[in-house]
Amino acid sequence: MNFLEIHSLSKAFDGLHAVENLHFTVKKNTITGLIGPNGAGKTTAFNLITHFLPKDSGKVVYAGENLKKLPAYKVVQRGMARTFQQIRLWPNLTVRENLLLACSREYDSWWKSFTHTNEAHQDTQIDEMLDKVNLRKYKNHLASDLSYGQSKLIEIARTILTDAELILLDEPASGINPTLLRTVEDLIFELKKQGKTILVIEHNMPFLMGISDEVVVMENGRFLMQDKPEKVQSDPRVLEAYLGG
Amino acid sequence: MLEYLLSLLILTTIWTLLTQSYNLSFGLTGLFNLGHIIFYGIGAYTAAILNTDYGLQILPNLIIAAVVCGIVAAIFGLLTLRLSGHYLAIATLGAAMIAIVVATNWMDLTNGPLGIRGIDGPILFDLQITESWQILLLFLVIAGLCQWTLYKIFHSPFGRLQRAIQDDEIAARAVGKNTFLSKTWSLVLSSAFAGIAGAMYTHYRLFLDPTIFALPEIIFLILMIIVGGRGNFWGAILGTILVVIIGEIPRFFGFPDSIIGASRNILFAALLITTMFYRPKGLFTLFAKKAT
Repeated sequence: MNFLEIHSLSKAFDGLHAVENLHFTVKKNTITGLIGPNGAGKTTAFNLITHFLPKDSGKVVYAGENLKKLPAYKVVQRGMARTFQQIRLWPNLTVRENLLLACSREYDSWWKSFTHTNEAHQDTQIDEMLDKVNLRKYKNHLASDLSYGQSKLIEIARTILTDAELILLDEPASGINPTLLRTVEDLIFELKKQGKTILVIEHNMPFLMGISDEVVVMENGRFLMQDKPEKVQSDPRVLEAYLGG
Repeated sequence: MLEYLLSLLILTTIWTLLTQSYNLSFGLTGLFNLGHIIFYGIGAYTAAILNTDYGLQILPNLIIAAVVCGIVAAIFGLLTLRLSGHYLAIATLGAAMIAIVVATNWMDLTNGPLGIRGIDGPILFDLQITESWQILLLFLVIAGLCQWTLYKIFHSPFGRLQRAIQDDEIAARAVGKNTFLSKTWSLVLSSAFAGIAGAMYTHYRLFLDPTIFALPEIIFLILMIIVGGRGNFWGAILGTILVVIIGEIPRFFGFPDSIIGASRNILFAALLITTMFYRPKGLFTLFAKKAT
């Protein structure tokens, strides 16, 4: 079953086509990689899918629903959350506060956001998540005190805590050491075990090919192919796109 | 001397509430709204008109002023809060200038530059409060209740979201938060408390004219918040008190009246520059509640 369907998605900036007629699908409870050379339009595609950028044309169908012009925050509330290529934590908030804001969905009710101060339940969730990423000791540290790799893990943890069914990770392995990379990998596999669906942009090919069930390839803003990792790796079109012939 | 001190304390109480109200939208949420003084003025005029035309007294006037300011702020927010940074600052500054023009020219409503006279002092349940110390006590109770409510807002999940929006609004949307609505609520609440401060001012000064909308007032509000520390609850209170004290210093050096204003501005500028250089997060960061 297709959990996410991208139909003819296009976006141009001042005449430059960043994404053009893009189409691919993501099956439920799979890990799908999204690759392409630099400038292929992967991150723009993420921004369009999650509605952080308005599309020029095309359609995003998530869990059978055409998302049309739904605002980005409502897309998250529908169950599709993402991380960013450039980490976007709140540096002046603690790690706990960063995570609380993601898992405190009951506070979406305006009145409760003033009155509800017992956060024991959320704290349990946060502690469990911090144990998974081995960062519990940083719970009450400011996010600005974390290293790049730790920040990356907290951003992924925050995205997971939104309880999204479809998680889009933008370069989760970039700039982090092998130990943390292993943690990211474990986290992604555990999400899949829990029934979640994951779409990953990544330049670390051994990592991506090792975790993906399917890989989508983009070139110059367009769809190039979608297949199993082993087939993608040996496809001459992909080699040409990366090596330039 | 005692009357001077009491008067200063009453005005400080009002200003502290006004600063704290601005600290919510500017300090906590990060809205660079240069039109906050509009709501202080609207609150003041609401109380003045209700009192002189309809005979309503301070307590209902405080509530109605808050509601009126909240409604105007909601409309104001819908029109301006899609903007951010300098664009928001320019738009709100423009709105503040429009407010002065309206207050000066809408004679039927505001009596224009002649102002509104004959406003009653505080009357509580038919009891006229005339002594300055009694007014101070009453205002301390009212402002104290407002400050307590604002404290709760600052330290609630709503307050946490406002800090997140100030840090990175896109990240807040990425966890499913409706940031536009949150910013609008911040502006509405902030303006409602400014309206209460304005109504208190009206019932103390007993006269009101369009100078209440004077644009330089916003500079003092920003100064008090920067000195105290943006988004720092106790900092806003201490920043206001410090600025009021520093502003009074030239009076005690025997300067002629003509240069008291100028020397005061020099002191404020020195305070602002010193703070920005040496304690950019405010002089009272020690009093900031430790994040938990």
